[in-house]
Amino acid sequence: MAALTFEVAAKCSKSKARAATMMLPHGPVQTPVFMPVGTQASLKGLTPDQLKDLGCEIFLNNTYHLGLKPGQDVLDTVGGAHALQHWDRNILTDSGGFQMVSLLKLATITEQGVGFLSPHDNTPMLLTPEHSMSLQNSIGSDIMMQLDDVVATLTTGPRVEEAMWRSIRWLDRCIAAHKKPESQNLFCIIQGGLDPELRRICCKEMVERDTPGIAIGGLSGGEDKESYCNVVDACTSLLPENKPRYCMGVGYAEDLVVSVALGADMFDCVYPTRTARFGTALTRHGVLNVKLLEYKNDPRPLEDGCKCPVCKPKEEGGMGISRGTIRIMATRDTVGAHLLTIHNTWYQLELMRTIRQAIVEDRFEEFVQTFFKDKFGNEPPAWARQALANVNIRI
Amino acid sequence: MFKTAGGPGARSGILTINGSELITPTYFASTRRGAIPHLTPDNYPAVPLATVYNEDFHEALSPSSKRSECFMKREYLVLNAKGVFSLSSHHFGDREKKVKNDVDNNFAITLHTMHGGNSHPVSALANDMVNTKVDFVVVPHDSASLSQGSRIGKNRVRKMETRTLEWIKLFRATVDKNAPGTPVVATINMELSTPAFLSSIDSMVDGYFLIPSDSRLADNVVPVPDTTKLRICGAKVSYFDMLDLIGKGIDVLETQIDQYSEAGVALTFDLNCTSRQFSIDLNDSCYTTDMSTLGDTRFAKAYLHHLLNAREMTAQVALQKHNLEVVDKFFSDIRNAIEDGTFDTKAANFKSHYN
Ligand SMILES: [Zn+2]
Repeated sequence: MAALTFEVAAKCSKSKARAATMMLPHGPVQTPVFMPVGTQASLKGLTPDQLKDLGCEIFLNNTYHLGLKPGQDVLDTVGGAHALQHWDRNILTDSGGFQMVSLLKLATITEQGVGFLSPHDNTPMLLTPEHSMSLQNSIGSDIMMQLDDVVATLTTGPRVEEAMWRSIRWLDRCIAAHKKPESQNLFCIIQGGLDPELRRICCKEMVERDTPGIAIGGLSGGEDKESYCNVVDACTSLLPENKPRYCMGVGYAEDLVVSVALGADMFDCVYPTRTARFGTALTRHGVLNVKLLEYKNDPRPLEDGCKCPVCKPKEEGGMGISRGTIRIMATRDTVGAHLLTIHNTWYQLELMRTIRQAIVEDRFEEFVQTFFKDKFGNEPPAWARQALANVNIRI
Repeated sequence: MFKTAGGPGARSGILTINGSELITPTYFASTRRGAIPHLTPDNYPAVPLATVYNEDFHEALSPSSKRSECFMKREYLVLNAKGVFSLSSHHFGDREKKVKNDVDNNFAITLHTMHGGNSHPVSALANDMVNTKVDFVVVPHDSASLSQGSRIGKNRVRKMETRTLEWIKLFRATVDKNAPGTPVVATINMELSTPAFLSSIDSMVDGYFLIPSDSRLADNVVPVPDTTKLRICGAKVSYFDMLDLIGKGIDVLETQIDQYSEAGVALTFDLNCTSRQFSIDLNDSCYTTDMSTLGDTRFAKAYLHHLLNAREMTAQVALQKHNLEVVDKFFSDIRNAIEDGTFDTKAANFKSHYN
């Protein structure tokens, strides 16, 4: 029983890239997909309508934050996060565990769960797999993540294996505690650090649990890109074709392109919205620090030809705003941050739409070549060249 | 630029901007760096008028340059407005603290920019304000720096008149040279609003930007000169005082929304008194689970309460959007009431209902 269907519409004839339609309780999601992060039930400064206008079909809320504010009682009373924020498309929530380990210094992990001190009054608290499921059931997210035992990516030794086995045991507890499998989809999270053998065991164990989707976890924590690609490549080869694969915490454009080639379908990252607030625009030629004096009076849009509501000319119904304008506002006014957030979120979503179209038309390799040429000229990063070569794409 | 049937009391008129007609009384929105705070232009319907401050676009463009330069351009504005006019924030001084005199001498004014205050020739300011292709410009005036309640000596008033007159001439000449046809609006306070002074400038100006004297800033008493030209109220006044001023024949007033939205307050009043409360404070815990939507928005009050509680910027966006809609309707109702002769009654009802 799952509240998800995943239909592969097209496969790249060279790499492992695929285009699919994932049907969720709040509508379809075209994959590969980038999911923006709205930590506290809001994508920094954007209204739900604006997010919809960007073509966003799914975005993230963070369980840890929503558990604090507005709190589980309120979520139960108002009927969950969709109703609260008037968002009738899909929501994915994390387990809350990662946020605790990364935000709270004193988190301790035992077999029972993640122990931490309450940010309110420093009383000891415990996030168990059951508690995480209960919170995510109250939020009502379309995709919920299992509580996993998170270790720093670069950890080696027995702790990695312990965390992997514990994550498998916690998955069983999550499955048992999940009260709404008919309307919410629980994804498992493959652990095992950078050790291929542990990853293999974890894939096997978790695939047997038959969750509607599968995440590749424990990455994007400072490992080198080769290791990242090796793990993703190894995992996707072990995972079933008919389920979505989610690479957690991935958001740099080149990482997205390579990960898609390696067979991943879903991604999330705070990077595009966070960097917007620092005055940085994402473009196909790389990042643009629009605060710089050199953009004074620059009449060009953030990116030539960009069809986001900010860059699109007024004659075409957009706002037609130039670099010169955004330079004045970036990091000074919230409006400047909002404009860059709109552009950057569009950039990510549009990148994935372009990737998907290329897969559907079986010209993904050509797309990848153009992408790297635009961004890196004739010197693409060696790790990307190698990872892509492993799946028969030459750049 | 402006036509009115005039008459004592509230009046309606037609303000022609850029070839399109705005019916008065109407409002202008204040901007920061050319944008209505918190709102991207896709988030609200066009406001009738907005004002931009040239100081917001001043920058010291090299580390060695002592004086900042203005680089404002109309096309830079992140704004959805039918008309835009240019103002110097010199008009307002520092409202929160002691009002200080920003006039340096007959030819220079201190501008308060992102880089602090620095002295600028009035002629440069005129060039900057005119060259930005706005729909009209408001000339700065000379004002006296006084503590509240004290009086200005005759000599000081004479100096104010001389400077203000000279600056109007300067702006007029700049307009005629660089942007012919751009209307020029004079800034007038109580000291400058004598019939003798007004008649000396009337032929040179297209309207009046009316502000309180420094000594009466807190009272927000603005002069209402006897004229059929445009009267803009430059004071930040309450919605109750707005009705009084419209009743005295003011045509254009400034919205007061930023301070409400930033504090988490939604305006809920309307001229016809169909609501019980003037405003609601969405920080109040009574909204924690209130899923009714705020006004005509799609936002549940519980959501706005949550956003405020979580310090999410979307709270200010949503409230600004809503508050602007309330003000827009307020002015539309005012125009209708003037049209059908019910303005005075409705204004009186409004005061007793919401006060
Ligand atoms: Zn754009």
